[in-house]
Amino acid sequence: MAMEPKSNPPSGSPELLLQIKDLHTSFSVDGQTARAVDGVDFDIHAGEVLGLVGESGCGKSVTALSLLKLIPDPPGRIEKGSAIFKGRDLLSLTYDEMRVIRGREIAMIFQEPMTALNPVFTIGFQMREAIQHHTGASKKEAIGRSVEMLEKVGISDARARMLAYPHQFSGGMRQRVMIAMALSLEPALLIADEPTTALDVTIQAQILELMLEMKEQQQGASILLITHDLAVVAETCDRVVVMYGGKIQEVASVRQLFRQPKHPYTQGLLRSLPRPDLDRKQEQLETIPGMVPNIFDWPKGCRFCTRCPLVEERCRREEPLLRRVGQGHEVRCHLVDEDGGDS
Amino acid sequence: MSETPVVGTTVQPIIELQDLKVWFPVHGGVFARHIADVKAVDGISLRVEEGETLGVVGESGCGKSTLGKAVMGLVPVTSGSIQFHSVSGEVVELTKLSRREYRPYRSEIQMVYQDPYSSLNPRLSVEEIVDEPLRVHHRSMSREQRRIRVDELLERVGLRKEQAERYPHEFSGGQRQRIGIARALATRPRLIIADEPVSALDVSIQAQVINLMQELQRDLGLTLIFIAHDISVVQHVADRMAVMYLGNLVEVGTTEQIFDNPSHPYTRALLSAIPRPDPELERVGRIMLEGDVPSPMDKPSGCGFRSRCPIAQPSCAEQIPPMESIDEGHEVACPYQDRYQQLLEDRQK
Repeated sequence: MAMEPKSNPPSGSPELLLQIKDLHTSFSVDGQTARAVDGVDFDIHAGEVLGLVGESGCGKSVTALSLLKLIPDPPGRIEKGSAIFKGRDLLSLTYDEMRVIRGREIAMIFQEPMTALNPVFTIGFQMREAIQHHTGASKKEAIGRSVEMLEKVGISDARARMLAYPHQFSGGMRQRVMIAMALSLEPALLIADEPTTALDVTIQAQILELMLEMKEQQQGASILLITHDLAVVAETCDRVVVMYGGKIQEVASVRQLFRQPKHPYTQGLLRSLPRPDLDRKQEQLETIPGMVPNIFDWPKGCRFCTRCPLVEERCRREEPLLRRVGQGHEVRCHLVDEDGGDS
Repeated sequence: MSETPVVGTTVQPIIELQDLKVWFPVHGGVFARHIADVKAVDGISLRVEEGETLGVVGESGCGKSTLGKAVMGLVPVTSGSIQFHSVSGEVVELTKLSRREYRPYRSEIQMVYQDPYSSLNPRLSVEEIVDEPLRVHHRSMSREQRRIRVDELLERVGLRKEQAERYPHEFSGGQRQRIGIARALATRPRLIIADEPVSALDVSIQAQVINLMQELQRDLGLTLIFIAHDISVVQHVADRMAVMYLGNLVEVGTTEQIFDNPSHPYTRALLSAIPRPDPELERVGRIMLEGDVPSPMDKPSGCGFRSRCPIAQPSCAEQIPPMESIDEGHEVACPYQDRYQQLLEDRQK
């Protein structure tokens, strides 16, 4: 069966679900400060799948954890910024207020589900407890709801499996359980941080399809998918945010990004993928020279200037702004012209 | 494996596996009795030719890493044979060798590991790491000769001479993988087994390391067994591919044959599940497999894939299907592969 086609973003102005402004999160280690997320702004629209992509250390996971106030403090600290969700700033909520939002309104699933499940309680207990806690449902209702969700995510013999412990499930099954738990409270936003990275490719296909299917069933629900895998983005996302060096470098619809990437980093990333499906005998892969800069000491000017093939003197001196270059397309690069004709 | 004569017979095998089995016994109960076996490699016959890159693909638990370790002499072989064609022209049965007897051949067969963080000794400098195989295998080399060779190797993999005195923690993942490659090249091996050499690296760094490995393979005439779960990467580097499932080969062929004409039901599903970085690609005919890979401790009888196979027949439970040639150099372990479409339609009725 073909993977669910990407839902077309509704025309006109999409309804805003979450608006992130000027988010800064840093970590202090041995007297040094790592500015992991260094001024990030983006929106998540209702009903969309938004991809947040980048390589290790670019700040994509820290961005997500900041939204849920899951940054360990110390050493981490949300320095400033806001994240307006349904009229409230998530970043200014108290611990108890946040607990109500987490799970109920915004749910999160992680790369390794084993770390998120408690090994000493049964799957059924963990699911039912979460439902009871958030909805005040009776034990019986919560069990019924748990079984229903497990069946929905394709776990056979769900009622009996409720009594199993997490270690008795395979990696793919655990991720299904996580999805069932995350979606049992019908959250408006699901944050999925590398949900399929630890899984085999045939299981990855199952899990991604399941996530999209579940989203379709719930009107207006959105997914923030954090991943390093551009192929996964191409197959599942409506829009994409590309991060590098703690900053957003490009925002575009998935089509624009793959067809007309504007930032030299995005272009380099796409070109460095092996594409034997296009060109069988590529002799060499194109590469991005050098390596990711030190997080404790970002370069001056553009974060990508140490590796950019198009670098100019200005790039090392002056930091470019994230500018609009077309309909829904923003780029942080001095060398990209504003494309007035497109708007 | 069938005796298909290879065209242009200058091609020499470097290593030949015959019905290789690596089973790990599982003990349990009060008296720690032998209760079961993990059949990690369960009867594999395969020939690797000198100078080629053979990609070995399959999902976790399929036995692809164990296969590499068996060739390296790092796990005990249960039965079967591994014949290595040594540089001196002799054919050596590796499975019969003790560790000590294996040692002279180890300089000809080297390994590059997945995790560049745990596969380098943190207490040794880069120079000591790359020098170690030389000290072991080339005892006649003087200190100065070894020093020159180490510099040469570091340069070869794109590191600077000055970096020789640094320690692994001072390097990024991609650079560490370069150090691991330099170490593997130190003894001038003819065969390199690379077990997931790029899967721990970021995309932009992955491409650098893949290019390096391909360049080295070309320049030094190496034979490469490239074990990976990322099929797009294997498709890029490999001349031939071997697809594994639960300890058995299910399909072997040139990379073109595998991609143009995937024939085993598992290969079909595996290839169709690969995400491609193109949002405008029409996804037609993605085959969704049901369920998970069974445990190698509890393999289904007969064909290991039958519990997930969309065209499984009753007779699939009887025996492990043998590899059959369907084209020159293209072998498939499924007696029903030529009736795939028809059986699928029958099933859907």
